[in-house]
Amino acid sequence: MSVLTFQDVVMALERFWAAQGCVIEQPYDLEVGAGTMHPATFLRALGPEPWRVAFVQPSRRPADGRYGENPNRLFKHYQYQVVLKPSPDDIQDRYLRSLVQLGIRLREHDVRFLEDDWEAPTLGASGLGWQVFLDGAEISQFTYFQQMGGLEAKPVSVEITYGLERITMFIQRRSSAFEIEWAPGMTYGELRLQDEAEQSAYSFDRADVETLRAGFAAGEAEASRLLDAGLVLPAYDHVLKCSHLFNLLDARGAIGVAERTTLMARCRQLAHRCAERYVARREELGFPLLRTAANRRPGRARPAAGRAGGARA
Amino acid sequence: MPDLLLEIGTEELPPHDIAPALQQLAEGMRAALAALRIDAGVIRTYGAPRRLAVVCMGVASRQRPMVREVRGPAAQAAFDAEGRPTQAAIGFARAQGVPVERLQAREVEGKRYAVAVVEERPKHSAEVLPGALTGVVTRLSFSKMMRWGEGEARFARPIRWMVALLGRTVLRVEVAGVRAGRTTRGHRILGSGPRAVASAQAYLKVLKSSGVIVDQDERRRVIVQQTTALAKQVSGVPVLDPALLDELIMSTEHPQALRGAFDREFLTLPGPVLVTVMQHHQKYFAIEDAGRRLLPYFLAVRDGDARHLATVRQGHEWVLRARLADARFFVQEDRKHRLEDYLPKLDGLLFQAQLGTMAEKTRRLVALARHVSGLLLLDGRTTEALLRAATLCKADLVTKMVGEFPELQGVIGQIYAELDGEPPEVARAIGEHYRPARAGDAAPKTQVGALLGLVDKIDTLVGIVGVGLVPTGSQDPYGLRRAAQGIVEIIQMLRLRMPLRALAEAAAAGYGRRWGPEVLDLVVDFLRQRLRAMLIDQGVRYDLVDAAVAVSGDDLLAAADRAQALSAFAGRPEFARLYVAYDRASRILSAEAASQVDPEKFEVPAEHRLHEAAIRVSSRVRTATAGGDYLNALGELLALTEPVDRIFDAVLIMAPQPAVRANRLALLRLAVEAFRLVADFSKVVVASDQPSTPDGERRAKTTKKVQAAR
Repeated sequence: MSVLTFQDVVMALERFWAAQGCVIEQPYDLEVGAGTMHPATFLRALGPEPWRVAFVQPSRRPADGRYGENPNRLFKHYQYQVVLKPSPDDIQDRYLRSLVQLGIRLREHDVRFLEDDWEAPTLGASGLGWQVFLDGAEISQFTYFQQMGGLEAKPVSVEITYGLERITMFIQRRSSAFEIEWAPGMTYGELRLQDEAEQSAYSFDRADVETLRAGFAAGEAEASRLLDAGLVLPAYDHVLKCSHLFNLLDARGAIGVAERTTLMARCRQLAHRCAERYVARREELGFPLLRTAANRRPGRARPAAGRAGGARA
Repeated sequence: MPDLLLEIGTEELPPHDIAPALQQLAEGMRAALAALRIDAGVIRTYGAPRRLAVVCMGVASRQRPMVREVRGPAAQAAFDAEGRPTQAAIGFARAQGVPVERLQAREVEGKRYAVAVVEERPKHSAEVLPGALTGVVTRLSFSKMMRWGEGEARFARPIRWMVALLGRTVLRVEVAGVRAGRTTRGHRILGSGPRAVASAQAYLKVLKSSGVIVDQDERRRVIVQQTTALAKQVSGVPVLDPALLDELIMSTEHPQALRGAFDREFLTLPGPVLVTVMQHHQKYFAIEDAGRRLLPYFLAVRDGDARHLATVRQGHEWVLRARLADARFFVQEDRKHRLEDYLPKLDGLLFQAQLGTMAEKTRRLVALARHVSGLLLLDGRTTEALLRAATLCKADLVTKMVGEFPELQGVIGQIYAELDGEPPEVARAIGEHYRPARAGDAAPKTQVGALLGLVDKIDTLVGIVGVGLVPTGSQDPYGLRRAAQGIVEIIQMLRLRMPLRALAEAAAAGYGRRWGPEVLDLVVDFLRQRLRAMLIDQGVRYDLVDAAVAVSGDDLLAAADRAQALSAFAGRPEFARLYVAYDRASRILSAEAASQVDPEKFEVPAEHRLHEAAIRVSSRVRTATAGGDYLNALGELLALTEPVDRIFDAVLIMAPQPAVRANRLALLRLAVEAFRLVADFSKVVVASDQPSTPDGERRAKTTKKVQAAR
């Protein structure tokens, strides 16, 4: 097999997880810091309804931007996000088979699941799991959600997050994310470098603090108003906006220490209210996916292309 | 007799959870077998990332029979005047499953009761063990527990399979919806599917043929031997950091070491940075030459076999190169400014949510350092160094390097301070002031470093206790126990006779808050408890520690010295004499004692002798303790023993005339006070064998209570 491009990696993962019965979702159309914040993760992980989903999520982390000058630090990176609820018994094997799909022959490498506990204070979320290392390179996060939006996660979802740049850098043996071959003849840098430089300049130097603050306050008020009106998903959108504005303010160095704690608590509170409202609303609807899941034949999904190769290839 | 095997198959466990879990498994197994009255031989435990196992040799296939005596109703309620059983007796006998005519009337603790003698029928071990083993597994506890799937069970990571065998028989153990069988799983990559285990004897062999070295001691040998050999090939020795070694042993099922190299130019990075990148972030061992200089190699431990090592090495080298390039970039960026240029940024770094920023902490440290310098009458040069170090010690927290490698706090500060041309003692103090940074770490070695460590730790301790976050149980998120231990070590190392309460008060004043005296009490008591624990760890009897601490107030140095002296003196035969004299004199004391001794009221020479001895001994003891020579002080006290004994022989202390009685009591109090200059002997436990274990401590306390009641 010739060396996979960035887009080959994405497409291989899409095929693999579709065959595992995942809905292939699309990136959320708002700024988020991680795939966990996509409603297809945060909200769907709540309540008793079974759920399997996979999607690419461009993730913005303003404080991590380096003007495109650091080979490993990005304002925006791409996550491949997989969520399965309840977590299947053989989930680690499935994950390893997905690596085989990327042309990684497990016997020729050192694959390790190293303890890593995860916590997202602005979401009131936490979980236990691992970072997955491939020959010393961290390529994925693997988390069993225990809490989401301040609610007990029941049943437990497992979340797998592939760092697409890291994995492709490993496969292509590039020492800079910008040297990754995204598509034949087109590098990651050619596609992304200008955005990285400009977005970093925006977050660190140019963002107007008063505008951001006003945006935060407006988003918070709107989220609260919409929650009162029982519109959970629009309310959650505004929580995401607040969260991103908070990250921008933070990168801009505009948040004092005391303020930081309060702003985070305010985000968390809204996330918690969204979580509660969402579960209540789904209950009113009779938890529809409980029925859907019962009707969905496992055979509907195409057989896993890589099953023959298996985890022990 | 058959052997017993229990294996809990899991997803990858946190390495630090495995050894404690194995200990719990062994103890749980031992207790379960004892409770079931099943004789068994040696218990061994095995742990690897995906399994916890316990093997018990020679397990009896049946329980030992047992006769149990159960106390029922009082005899007079159980039997009528003719000795016939009443309804009460019939009910009791039925409940115990014995015929009523077999009830016996017996005396228990001075009263007569109906007693049922119940014979427990021995059952097959295979019948009673499953329930007990299920209990052993479900009672295992971990630092963090999780749920998975749709279940309610909690464990460190999901349980995926179990093996439970007594001889060749599968025991029906079931935990978290997983039913035990005889099928284990081998290595994730090297193994070839599920494998049946015939019996406990076959366990190690079956796993080895499936690519798992289940014996953790063997994995340790493999890693040490391979890394040592690989380092030797490049004329070096591996830097086998013990914590990393333990972690690698518990995060591999089939360890295989490999050596990789990095560009020599990275050796220009500070040594601690290189080692941290390798050890903490990549889990590699560094290699040193004979002169303890780092060599441009590393040792990685793969979980797998020796095939395709070149590919694995290439991957690890690629990752390490990127990591080191990052570190070099951070150092270059950081070095564009002097360390002190970072100070303004401390305004944006939180020390603790309720206690403000690191900038505020820095200001407090400088003020407190000035206070300490005044207390200790430090010379100008030392004071200057201490204040400079206090000013700079937190600056590295906002550098890129510490942002990336938080465990290098202090170390980076020291390196940058040296490069800035700060005085060596200042740089050194910055590097040392967090120590001891972990269990087994040493306290700061230089005077300035120790004093800076002292003020930093007391500031943290007072602040955190002040906002009500005293550590409880195993929860100590601010590391207060370690801070307290550091303070105690520093006080002993520098031999600081320092009124600790006043120091804590000065620290509290730095926060500008109105904390009540109870906060200072808590702080001083917390420090005293740490000292107590440390002295007991060093082998000083707990009762002697208590005797020393009780009379030392907030002077921890005196408390430690007193305890050591008592410990040395307690081994001598005179010690018993000393204790007896104290005990006799103190036991009889009461509020009736006159406020002062009046020699005019003495009636016999023994009283005069004791009086003179008490005055002379007190004065000598004071001189000795002022010089910190408590061993000598104890020796001086011996001169009191004979006069005390004499007075009890010569007179009746509790004389009928109140004035004489009050005077004699006052005289004895004078003697007792002399003893109390050295230690509170009432805390001393005298028994034929001295307890030193916590268990013994409990036992001794009961003994003491009994004595007191007498």
